[in-house]
Amino acid sequence: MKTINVVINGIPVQLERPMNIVEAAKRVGIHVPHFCYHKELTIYAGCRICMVEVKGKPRPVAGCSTIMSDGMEVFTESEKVIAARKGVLELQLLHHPLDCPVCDKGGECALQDYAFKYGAAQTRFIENKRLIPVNYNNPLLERNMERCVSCKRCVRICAEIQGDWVLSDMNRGSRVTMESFCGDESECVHCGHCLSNCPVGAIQSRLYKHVGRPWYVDTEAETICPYCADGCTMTLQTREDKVLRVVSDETYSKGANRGSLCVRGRFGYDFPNSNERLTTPLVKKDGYFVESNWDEAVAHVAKRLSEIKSAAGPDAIGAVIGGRNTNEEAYLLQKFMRTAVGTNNIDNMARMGHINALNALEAAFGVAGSTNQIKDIAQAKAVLLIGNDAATENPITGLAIKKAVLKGGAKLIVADAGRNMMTKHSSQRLTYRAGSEGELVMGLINAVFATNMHDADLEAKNTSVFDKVRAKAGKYTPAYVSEKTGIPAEDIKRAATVFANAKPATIVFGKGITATADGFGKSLALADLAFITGNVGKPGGGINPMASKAGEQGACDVGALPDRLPGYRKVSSAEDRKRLGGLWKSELPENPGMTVGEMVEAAGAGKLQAMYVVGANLAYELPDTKNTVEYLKKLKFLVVHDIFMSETAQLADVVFPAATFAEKSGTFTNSERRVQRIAPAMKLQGGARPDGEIIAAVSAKMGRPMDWEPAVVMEKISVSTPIYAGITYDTLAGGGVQWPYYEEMKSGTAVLHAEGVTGRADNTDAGVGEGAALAGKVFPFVADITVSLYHSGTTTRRTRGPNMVVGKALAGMNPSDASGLGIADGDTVVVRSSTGELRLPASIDKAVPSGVVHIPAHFADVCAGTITGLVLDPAGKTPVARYWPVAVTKA
Amino acid sequence: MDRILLKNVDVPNIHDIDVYMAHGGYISLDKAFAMDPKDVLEEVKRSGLRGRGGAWFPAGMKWQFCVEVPKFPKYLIANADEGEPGTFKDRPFLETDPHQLIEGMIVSAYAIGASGGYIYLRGEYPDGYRTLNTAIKQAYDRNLLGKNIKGTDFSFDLTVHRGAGAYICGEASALIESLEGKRGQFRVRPPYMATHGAFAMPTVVNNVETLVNVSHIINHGADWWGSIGTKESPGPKVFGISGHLNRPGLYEEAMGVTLRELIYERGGGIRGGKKLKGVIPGGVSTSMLTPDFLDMKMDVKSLQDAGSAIGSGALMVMDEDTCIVHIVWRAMAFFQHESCGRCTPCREGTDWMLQILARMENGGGRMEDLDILADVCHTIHHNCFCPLGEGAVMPVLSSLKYFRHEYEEHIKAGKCPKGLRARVRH
Repeated sequence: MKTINVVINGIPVQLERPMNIVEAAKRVGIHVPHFCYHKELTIYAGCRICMVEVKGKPRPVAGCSTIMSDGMEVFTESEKVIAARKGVLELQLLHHPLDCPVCDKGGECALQDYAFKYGAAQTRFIENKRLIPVNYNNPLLERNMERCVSCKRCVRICAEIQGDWVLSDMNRGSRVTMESFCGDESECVHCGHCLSNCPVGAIQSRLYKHVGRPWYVDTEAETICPYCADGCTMTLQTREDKVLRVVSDETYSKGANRGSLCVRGRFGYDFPNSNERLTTPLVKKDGYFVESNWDEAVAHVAKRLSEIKSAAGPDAIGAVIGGRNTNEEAYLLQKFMRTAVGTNNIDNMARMGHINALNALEAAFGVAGSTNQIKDIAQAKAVLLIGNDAATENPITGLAIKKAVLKGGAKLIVADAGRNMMTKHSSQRLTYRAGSEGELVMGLINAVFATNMHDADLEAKNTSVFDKVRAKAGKYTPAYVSEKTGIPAEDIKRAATVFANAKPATIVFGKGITATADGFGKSLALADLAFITGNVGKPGGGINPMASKAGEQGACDVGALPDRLPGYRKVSSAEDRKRLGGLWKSELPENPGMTVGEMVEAAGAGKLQAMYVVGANLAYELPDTKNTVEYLKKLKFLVVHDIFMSETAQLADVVFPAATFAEKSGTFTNSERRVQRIAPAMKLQGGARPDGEIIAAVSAKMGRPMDWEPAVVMEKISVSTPIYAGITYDTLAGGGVQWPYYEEMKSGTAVLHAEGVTGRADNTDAGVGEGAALAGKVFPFVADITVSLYHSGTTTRRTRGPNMVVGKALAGMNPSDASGLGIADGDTVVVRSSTGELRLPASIDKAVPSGVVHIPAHFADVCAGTITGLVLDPAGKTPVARYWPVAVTKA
Repeated sequence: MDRILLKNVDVPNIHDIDVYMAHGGYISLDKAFAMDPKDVLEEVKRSGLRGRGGAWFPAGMKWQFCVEVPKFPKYLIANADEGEPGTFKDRPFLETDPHQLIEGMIVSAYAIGASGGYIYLRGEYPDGYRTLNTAIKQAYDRNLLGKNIKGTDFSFDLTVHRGAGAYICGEASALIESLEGKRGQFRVRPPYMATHGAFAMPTVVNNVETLVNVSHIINHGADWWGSIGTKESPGPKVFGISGHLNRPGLYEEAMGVTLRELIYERGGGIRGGKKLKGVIPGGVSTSMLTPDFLDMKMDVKSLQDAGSAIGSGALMVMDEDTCIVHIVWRAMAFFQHESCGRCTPCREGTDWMLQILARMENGGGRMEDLDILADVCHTIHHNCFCPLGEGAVMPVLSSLKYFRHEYEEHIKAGKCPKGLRARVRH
């Protein structure tokens, strides 16, 4: 396209594409005032503050809706323009309450700034001002429509980016207010997009109310959200070591999330300042915790571990790192276990599911990670979302899927056994019987082959792989799959047609696949589906596994796994052991260690005598709580790092107070392989220390000193971990890097296998198993144990925001199931399984399929582990606990 | 002149298709279908037909833009959202003689290549809704609508869509938004309706009266039709005359009839033999004029020269006892109520002006209020988003120009000299 030459305030500007005057002026550093314009939203042209003068036009034109054409000459601050702005501002301020002293927007309010610059000091309005009561319908927000400038950005962002359509502009003319329709905010997911996008003080956070002013902020840190594995960039603002609030990027361009956040990230920020934080090392003496000091506690731990090591051998000690620890900490812990202790008994909480996806993708394509990036999902023409509720588990990936649907017109196929909040955006919903995920995926593959919709060119190059997949899928005819899954055969064929004919099409999956029996085989089947339809290696295609927590992918990457060294090198490989041993100056143990589930079982059997748990709440997160606690109690020695006195910490012999993400440096690797830095926004709270420092101290005491400063550790990781080669804190500046990183191009890899896949690297024969029906006569329901949008465990239980919206566990039930059992909304129900029972109130919810009871996994008083058993899947040793057969009765 | 458009309005049961056909109805279809659509379009262009909704845009040119877009289906929409105070000229074609509109639409759709049609009917015309639906059903039964009309390749479906009571939906893009089920608001342009109209497809929106004229142009030829009225705005026009007249009502005249003829001959002069104070010539959004303009011709150019506009041809006549401030207040109450709330100038400006005018009418006016009114009008006129705001300032600006003394009398007297009061909304 030919370039456009324009003149703005006398400055010649060359534009390579047509754009509006506001954006063009930005190019030369000229700010055109605006309220309603936002580059990510449709043009509204309502506020009329962006009026500018165009040479030759008698009247001012709106800078947002006027596209520049060649030769256009624009004046943004001429006399005429200033007069127009003054006139419009006078009208904007007519009914404004002018309550800046008590408005939290003060100091960062566009209306305030423009009024200061252009507005008249005195209003000529002598009539009565409009009075509108403040709206408190939303638990986290208050809406003050007297301050509203009717720019409708809240309404538009809720519809266009968040895709929830909660707000609308009610009434017309001077009576317009931005409200939820009829006051119904039940669709609101409290993402706070409207809050961050309001240019004035009309929408405000109830958490931040009268908490601070922008000029009170003494530290501002751009960091990564510690909750889910989407890895959202956000900014923590603190004053005197207290978190004031989280703000997101208003330009909607930074990070994997491009400025969007969900309720956890935006409102779940106050746990670092919780008064329940641990402040000093605790050592258990005679069954009671006694406050200790760091030297004493570290020496005690080193002594006890050394004793057990010499008495029972290094393999009697195991370590687990949680899902919210940084890559550096995971690296240090596995190095500590492999060198100072001398065992491969190291695992991380990705074992709860994500590891199956990684193993499968490595088996299929040779790389243990998502093949694509999250924001590319928006380019897909079809999305298969299976076993993952992107709207609640990883909401920013959910936004990318919604963008594909809302902006790109993509077809979304939502396949799930339970409730899935993405359903409202789907073109097709497949509700399968829990446990039959594998049959469904195989059925889709079968249908693709049956109608010759597979990629024929790719087949010519990979005949043997295709033949193998074809043979494997042979028995999964639509009729057979329909019988197993409960989905009509026609629907399976239709879904296969939609998916196979869309180019590109992508797959997003999560714990609904990985945390079930044969999670590895099912993940592999999904990889096959992506492969045979020719979607691997294409932007907007590929296959995206969703990790649950911020640190899971990274902990696996840097080798916190019993059978893998950093970079997924096999423990069994003598060559890799030798190379790493050389770097670490140590002989590395060669027998693969135990996974977390095996460790707990071994603890119960007395084979494991000591455990070192960093940031994982095993007594809560693992299934079969009762036995897990029993087994952990049998340990001779248990060390726990945590920020709170978690259920696991209570069982420990030594508890170290750890630092939160807000107090330390480090990196997280998100679901799309993006390594991103977190930065401290405040000093260490109380006596807490970063986990890395604690591990290094214990290691030093055991005779193996280690550097723990995160930047230094990352340099070591880049040497010892091939997939992290070249990644340092310098290369991570400015948005992080998707590994593998290429020094010569100074960039990471957004799309893996873009040069073309040559078939599966490791042609495993793993199948999807037999999806036997879980529900039976005694236990006729299936409990779908999953995360809530508002909670993720230990941390969110101690934050105000999410608890203001959802404060207690509810058992979601289908109306027909509930009425059959005589259960009304709010009635207490007993959910009973072979291992235990839960009592909690019922919530009647149409979105929950019949035969399923939806149990949130993250409340202190209702521990979902009570009703599950510890069953380890043979392939990945993953605890199989996503779905569990239960009986439900009215209490 | 002989009536053309309103020729049959007094025929009993003209709404029935048999009666209509007995009076020469649907003949233009045969003529049109014998021609190439391009030639039909040419004929309309040659006639000089201009849109009768108020903007007077050349109809043929509007069609041409739409025809040139190679996207299908195309839509033809009859704008029957006749909502401006003083306007009622389309009612005969909606409530009495509906087949004339349907016939015009079929011919127009043939010329444009539109396969879908809507009549966007003002919600407050329930009679029209029933009449039109019956008429459309009859037309379907006679294969005048639907698939392969009269055995040709041309198919055209027609649906009546009722508005929900918003004046702004009389504007083409807001009408389309409303038709699509959205909030009725002006669209940002470009893209224009000719390329991205209803359901993002090429669309022509024409006023009812414009479409009615099309069948007459085809029946009698562009030359005959163009010979009626003035050269730059030819054709017959239905004028809706209301106000303090002896015989208010609808009168069909050739374009270029003088104001005096309309008021004193057709309208029978001012009621009670009173003197004329002023007129609003084309609906409440056009500037009011004084009796000095009585010999002005009612055509697009003359009214433009006079600083007003012919608008939809809704002439409102005010006698000497009229309180201008009251009239302007009442007009502003309408615009304030109908402002959609999207753009700041119109949303806040109309509300502010309404309050000032009410205060003035009730005796609380100040001299500086006149400056404020002028300033606000200026801000709205220069900065508002759509034509509603531009129209809203016309009564104020024109009354300040011609009847400023009446405002000053109100302010000085501290009350309305005619003893009227403005109802204040709370």
